[in-house]
Formats: sequence, C-alpha cells, structure tokens
Amino acid sequence: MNDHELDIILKKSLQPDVSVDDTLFNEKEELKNMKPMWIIKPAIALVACAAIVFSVFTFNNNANVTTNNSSQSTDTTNAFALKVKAVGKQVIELKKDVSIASRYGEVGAWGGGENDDNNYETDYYETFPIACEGNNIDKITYSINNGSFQIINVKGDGFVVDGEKVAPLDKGGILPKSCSDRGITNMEDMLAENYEEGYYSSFTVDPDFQESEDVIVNICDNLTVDEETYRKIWCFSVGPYKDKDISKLSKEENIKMLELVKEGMNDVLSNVVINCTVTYRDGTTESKEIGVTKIVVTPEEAKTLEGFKNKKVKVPSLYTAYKAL
Amino acid sequence: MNKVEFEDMIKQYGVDLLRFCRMYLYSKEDGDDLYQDMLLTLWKKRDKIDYDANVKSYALSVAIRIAKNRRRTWSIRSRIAPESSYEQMLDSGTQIKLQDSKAKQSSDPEDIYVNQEQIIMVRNAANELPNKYRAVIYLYYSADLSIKEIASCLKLPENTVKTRLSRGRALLKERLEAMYYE
Repeated sequence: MNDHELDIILKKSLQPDVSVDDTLFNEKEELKNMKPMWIIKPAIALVACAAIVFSVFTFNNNANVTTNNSSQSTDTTNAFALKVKAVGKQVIELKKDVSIASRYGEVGAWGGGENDDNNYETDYYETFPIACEGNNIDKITYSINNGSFQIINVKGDGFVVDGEKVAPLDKGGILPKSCSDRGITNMEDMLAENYEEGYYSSFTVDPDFQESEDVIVNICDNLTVDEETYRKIWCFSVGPYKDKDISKLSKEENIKMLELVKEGMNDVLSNVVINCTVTYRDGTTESKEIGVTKIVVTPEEAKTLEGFKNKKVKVPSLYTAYKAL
Repeated sequence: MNKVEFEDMIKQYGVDLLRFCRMYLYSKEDGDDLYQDMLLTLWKKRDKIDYDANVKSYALSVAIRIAKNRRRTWSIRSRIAPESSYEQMLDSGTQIKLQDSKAKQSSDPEDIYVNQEQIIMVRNAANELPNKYRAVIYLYYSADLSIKEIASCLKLPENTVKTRLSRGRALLKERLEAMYYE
C-alpha cells in the first residue's frame, strides 16, 4: 500500500455518509431537550449497571441533624463532636477508625477515562453530610488536603462565611434537595435559578447554619491514577468483569466484584484527609481529622453494623463511609 | 452571526461537522448528540461568532471541547455497546462502494474499492489510535479540514499538526497492512 492508496482508503473509510436531514438544527426542540452539561452518575451499588444509567441526583436532606446550636448552649466547656448522617436515619458521632456509612453513601458520582496523554483519569463527587455539634462554637472551618469541596447553595444565603476558592472541577455535582422540589434536574438550570456553585480548598460556616435543603457540600477531585487502580474501579467495563453479565453474578462473585471496586476507589480516597477546625468564642481552636473510605456491606453485616439501624440491606452494596482519624 | 448566517453555516458545513462528530465518538447516536450540542452552543454564542472568520474550524473546536468534557462518560458507554453503535454507523450508509475481490486488485489507486469489512477494519484501527493522532486524522479525513485549519482548530502549530498527521497515518498503515496479511 503506497501513501496515495492509503490516503484514498482513509478518505473513503472515514467519511460516513450522512443525510442532510440529520444536519438540521431545531433550536426550540434542542433547548427543550437540552441534556445536562454535567452528568451525574449513581454509584455502583449491587449491580454496576448503574454505570450506564446516568441521571442527575438530588440530595435528600429531609432528615435533620439534631444539632445543638452553640449559641443556645448553656455549657461553658469548649467541646465539639463530629457527626455523620448515617444510613439508618441516625446521626452518629464519628469515632476513631470506625467507618460509618453515609446516608447518601450509595450516591457517589465517579467518572473515568483515558486522557490525551494516554494516562488514566478518575473524578469523583461524594456528599459530605457531616455536622459539628458542641459548646461555645464561634465558627467551623473545613479543609481538605487533596481535591476540593463543591458547595452549591442559594446566592446570598451566607452559608459560606469565608472560604479559599479553587479552580472548578466542572465534572459533575450533586444538587441540593430543593432543586428536585423545584423541578430542577440539571446544573445549567440550577445555576440559572439563583443557585451558585463554588469549589473550595477550605470553607468556614456558622454553627447555626450548617445545613439546609438549599445547600449541599460534596467532596470531589479529578486525578491521574495508575492503570491497576483504574481497572479496579471500572472492573465491570474494562477490568476482569467486562465480559460478564454482572446482573447475573452470584452473590459471592458480586461481593468479589464490589470488593475490587472498593479497593480501586480506596486507592483514591485513602489520600484524602478532611480537617475540621472549630474556633471557640474565646478565640481558642480545636481540630479533628476525618477520613473517607468505601465499604462493602452485606445484608448479614448490616444487621449488626453501627449506623444501619432501621436500614434493611437486601443485597451487598458499596457505601461511602466517614471515620475520625 | 445572525440566524441566516447560522443556517447558512449548517448548509455549508453541516455534513462535514456531523461526519466528524460521528467518527470522533465512534458512534452514530453519540455523534448526533454531540453535533446537536455543538450547534446549540454555537447558537447561544451566535452574537459573538464572526461569520467571516473560519467558522467551520471554530465549530469543530467547540465539538472537541464538548466531547472532551463528556468523554469520561462516553468512554464507559462506548465500551459497553461498541458493536451496536458501530452497526448503526454502517446502517446509516457509507459513500464507499462495495467491492468485489477483483476490484481490490485494481492497479489504479483512484479505482480502489473498499468493502464493508475493510471499512470496519480501517475505522477500528483509526479509533484505536492515541487521542492526539485520532483528532487530527478525523479532522483531516472526516471533516475535510486543511492543515492550517486543523492548527487553528486545535490551537497547535502547523508543524505539530503535520507531524501528528504523518505519525497517525504511519500507524494506521502499519496496522492495516498487518490486518491485511492476517
């Protein structure tokens, strides 16, 4: 094959015939059917086919954290505890090295792909349903060592008292609950409806305003990972399970697959440390560190696992969990 | 760019743009989505686009940017159902004449016929190229851009485009020759 022949073959092969009708643009139809620019992926729970079902997820923030507002406390001792909204509609204090599954831990948004330099990239968004309770708290500052916080809130609501902004990740996000109540299902519409989005390496909140249906805090990052990690995370599409019908895996095989996904995701999350620094009214500060991890929970384990009270786990599932470090 | 110019742009370049989108994403369905999203972006920005400038090259750069932002998602989807997507591309028809085995032996390059099996082979080989070569190959062969236009579209020096085109072609040649001998 000489160069000229190659040229002709390429020209003929790489120019699919297209109908002129296919090139038409219907502005109204397009605007009506416009898909979200930012696509949110439900996390892999039991069957990883979730990976092909892309939808916008809204954060259900119905259950309230029973936060003792510092301003209402009569206790004069400086103290605070970190609590997570756990799976079983409980709010549980984080303990050292005990992973408590987050109520929204089944709804992470992970993406992956090969970049222009043929390296593997992964991005993720995980909700951060942590609240801080205590006495004499003036302000609460969270910071993250790797990645950033994505905060979505209503413009001018004052949720972020102070913060160190970083470049936006622009890969996705999880919307506050009030968005779904208002029929908002994608980021573009949300931003047009008086919400704002910011990415922070650290942010400070008022102890009396730590949560709202109009607010969501996610942790997120986009990073290069090695091929092994990448193939673990996406084991059902590019790894050892790619040729298997994962909806038909036995329970044991399913757990093995989830364990593999967990390992891959934990390769990424194990480097994430979130610091919570509380500033008391007397000006003193105290800090605690939070770790994030993925755990696989089987129906049997869920019966005795802390945080799973009131939550019936029917099938082995992958959860995002938080722990004190 | 006003509405008339926008429609004119579609008439003039729509086919090339759509071809590129389908080839770049290696799927008719995703390519059509990308094409419409690209048009939507251009439509929204129509007041800022200079129609007299190289609007085709600009449109393709918009398509590439959208595709890159979404590739993570698509990469997973396309791995799940590459065959069906590919079938759809073929079902859409090609400009390529079906060959018989004798035609393949033709000595005149202009008479080279390519059968569907070879089309698949070529497209598979192109799709498996490293990204930096793929984009240049598709812009050149599918979207019919010149080297200068590709350089403008990808914001690269012309020499870099030439190098990538040349390496991409060499890789394709190597792979296709290996396939022909198999």
